[in-house]
Amino acid sequence: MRHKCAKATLYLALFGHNFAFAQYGRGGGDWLAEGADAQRSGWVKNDPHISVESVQGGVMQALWKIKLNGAPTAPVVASRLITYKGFKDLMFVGTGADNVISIDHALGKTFWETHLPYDSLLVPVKNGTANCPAGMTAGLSLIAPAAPTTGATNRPPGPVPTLPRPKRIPAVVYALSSDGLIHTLNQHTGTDIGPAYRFIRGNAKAHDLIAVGNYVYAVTSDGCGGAPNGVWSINMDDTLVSEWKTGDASVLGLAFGGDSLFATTTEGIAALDPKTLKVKQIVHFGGLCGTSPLVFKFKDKEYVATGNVSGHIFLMDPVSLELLVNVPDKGAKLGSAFASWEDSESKARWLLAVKDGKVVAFKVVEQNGSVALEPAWTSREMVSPAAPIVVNGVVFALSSGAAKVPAVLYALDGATGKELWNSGKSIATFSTAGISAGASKVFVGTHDGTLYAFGYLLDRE
Amino acid sequence: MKTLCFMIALSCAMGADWLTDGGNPQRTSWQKDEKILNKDNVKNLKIVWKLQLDNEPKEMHSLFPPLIVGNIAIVAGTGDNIYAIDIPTAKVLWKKHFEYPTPARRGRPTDPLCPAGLTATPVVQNGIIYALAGNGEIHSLKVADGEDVAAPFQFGYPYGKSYALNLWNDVLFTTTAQGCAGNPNQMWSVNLKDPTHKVMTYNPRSGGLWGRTGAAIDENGVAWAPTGDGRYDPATQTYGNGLIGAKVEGNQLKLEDYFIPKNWAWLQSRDLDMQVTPAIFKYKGRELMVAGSKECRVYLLDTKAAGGDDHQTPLDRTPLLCNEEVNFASAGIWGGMASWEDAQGTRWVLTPFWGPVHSDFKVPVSYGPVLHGAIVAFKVEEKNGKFKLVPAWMSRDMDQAEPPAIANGVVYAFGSGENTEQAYPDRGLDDNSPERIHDSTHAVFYALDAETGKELYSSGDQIKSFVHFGGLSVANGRVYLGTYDSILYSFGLEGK
Repeated sequence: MRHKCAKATLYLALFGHNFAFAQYGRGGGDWLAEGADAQRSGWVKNDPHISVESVQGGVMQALWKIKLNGAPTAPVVASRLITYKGFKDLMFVGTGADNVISIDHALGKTFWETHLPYDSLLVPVKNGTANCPAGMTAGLSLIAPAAPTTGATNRPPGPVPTLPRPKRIPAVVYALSSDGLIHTLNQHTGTDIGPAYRFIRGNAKAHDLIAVGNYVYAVTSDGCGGAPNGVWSINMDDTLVSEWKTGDASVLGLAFGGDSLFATTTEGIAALDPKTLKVKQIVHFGGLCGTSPLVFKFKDKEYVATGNVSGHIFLMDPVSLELLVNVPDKGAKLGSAFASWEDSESKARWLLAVKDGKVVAFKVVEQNGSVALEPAWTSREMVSPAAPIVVNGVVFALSSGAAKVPAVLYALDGATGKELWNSGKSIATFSTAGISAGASKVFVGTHDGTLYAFGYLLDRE
Repeated sequence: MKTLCFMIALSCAMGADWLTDGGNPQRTSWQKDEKILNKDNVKNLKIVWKLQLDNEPKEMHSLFPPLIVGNIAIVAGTGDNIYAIDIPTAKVLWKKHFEYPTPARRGRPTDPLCPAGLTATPVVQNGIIYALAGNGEIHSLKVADGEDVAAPFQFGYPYGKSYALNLWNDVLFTTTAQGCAGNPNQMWSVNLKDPTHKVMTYNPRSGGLWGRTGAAIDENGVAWAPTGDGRYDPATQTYGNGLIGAKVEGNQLKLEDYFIPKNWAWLQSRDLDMQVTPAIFKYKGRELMVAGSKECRVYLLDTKAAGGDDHQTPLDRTPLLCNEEVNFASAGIWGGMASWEDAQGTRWVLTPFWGPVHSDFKVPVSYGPVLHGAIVAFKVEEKNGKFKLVPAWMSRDMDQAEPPAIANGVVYAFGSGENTEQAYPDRGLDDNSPERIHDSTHAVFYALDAETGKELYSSGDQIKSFVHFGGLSVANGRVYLGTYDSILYSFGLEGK
């Protein structure tokens, strides 16, 4: 299936960088950034307690809810952390008030909360709009730190012994505050482990924050706060900021694949050099592009998935950006992001999208030597469904709800779409953030600042 | 030599020995034969003597609890040293240093978990000291002169970090943990009468059997030891985060019974290991035992059916005493338990704990805020066949309270003064000896009224160093404690 509708204005700008940052195979239960990982798969590959069978068996429970001081971003979820207060299972959320909160997700208790002070000559935006919300807009990001430690501990006077060991550094979480500074926060304490660096213009609508290697990336859109739309990166070693400005086109999202960073804008898709953000290739679609990119592997080859506002779903070659698959539609409303997972036994690769209020699943197949998307199942209709996610073969879909219509979380069999469980009336109001998962739990934030956890209940008593 | 032999003979007449860590194979830490110290005179305790030994500390370890054989104190040190000390004169009668080629494997230097050298408190039987050298060899030494009475034989791994030896019907037991120098984490035994010295082991496939005083042994010869961190999966004979009982049958050490708390997965997820050597005692004709964990609750179990049919149902389980913060390092119950019976037949159970008391724990008698640790006493009660641990008192605050000992109505306890931090705000997990030693303070020794917990004596700041994995010994009007700086303190009464 070849691209028919995309009138291509193709710019080739090939660079020879071998940028092997964001590799596949992190696995485990961490949710590192928006979309779970650098490929934005939305997939938790392994989980000890959540599976189609266990969800059918009743494993999903409403575990806890916690009230925050603002609508939370979709949480990022870390591996178990050995802190100075014991072993903790931590997740991190930001709120519009420039607060970052660490929550022990096994208990539903706040571990620390920190406020990122506004530090910009620009007047802070107090009251945002639906399109340009005020305050911190980007979700948080985990991933490998490369920062010196500056913390101190209380200890008696006297020389501190020389330790014949390498100095250790704490795990960190990255936060982009509304003043445009990038903060590197100690996961143990919430304090900055070093100075916060100027990254983007203050009051911008930033999203898709992700830290990969020594670089942190974000995108800006809708020209909010007078900030240019674009893709931004900062090298945390030398604080050098790179940018790819996209003019009037808002940037929808980022995904890593091969040697490239893929960015979709409202006009098309570009493959960027991850270090310099120089354009390697770019394709402008005829219709407006409407979906963040996703990179997945099928039979050892990578593909980039995106879509347009007419409901078309595209698969592209990550090197040439050649359109390989175009699943047409007649104006269906496509969700803002995909998810993709692979069945560990059958090795079937799945692509999930939201279309016209339903989750639709495609099986990635080979037809006549070419890759194709085979429609598999469609969920029930939902109210403004968030991008679906997958945990160990179970698809979680959120009917985000609307005013007076509370959100409902659904668990679906990833292979058949059969509904396995739903949260019923557990959630009191509508959701404004997406969902994320990790450590046998799924998290939903609502507009009133409540964060809900559903999943496997570990018997603590 | 004649004098020494006379002294040992005299010890039998005195009748108050401390021949094994925890006082007896059941690890109750109860000195039943104390006649000199009592709750009326311990307010006059003083340091009768302190003796600087030339033992080399290893990581944070130094001296282990002395064994008392009449007028002789036998002290083992991490530097592979055994000292025999004449108690009346505080003179070293003899010293034995175990020499061996440096083992090929050892723990990482600065790692407090795996010190190189002797780590097991020896045990004494019939005038013979059985000591496990750092190279894993058992030495059989005469108390009188330290001479070998038999050739050493291999029992454990070199630098394998064995815990206190125990002895039952000529079978020697130890346990190992932390996999030091490649050592498997398991229970070990050897029959001293077996000329081949066949080593018998049972491996529960856990993170380590690190009860401070090794295994406690019940009336049927079942050795009970906590299994530390790990999973529970009976299908694969995996018994982490529990308590196993193993018994020698023929020439094998076989699993006899076990207990696993129902919330073992939670304990594992937060590293709240079951890691406390149990105390075993008789009560109303039944043999019971108590154990605990870093989670900070005490379990009451029947040695004949620990955990009942499903191995997960104790006779009783206390609420959380401490560790509200769910910390793996500086909170919870560490080391061992203790138990004694008063003249009225009331059976008491004692547990130490580290860190602040839990805000929900209620106890009838207490002595001010507890922020750093304390001793809690329970009474064992039975009503209509139901057994309960009923809180009686909680001691004053102690800086990392360690397992107590009881003698003649007095509880002896100490706060170790040890820095127990393993993780730091600026870097996370970084457990290392140099920093912890630097940040440690000093131990404080206390005497408490065993029925009320009231403080009767405190050593204040007289002890100059801290204690790591040491312990108390009580006999004949003296209480002994060794510290990190290799000083052995002897507390007693003037002129006695």
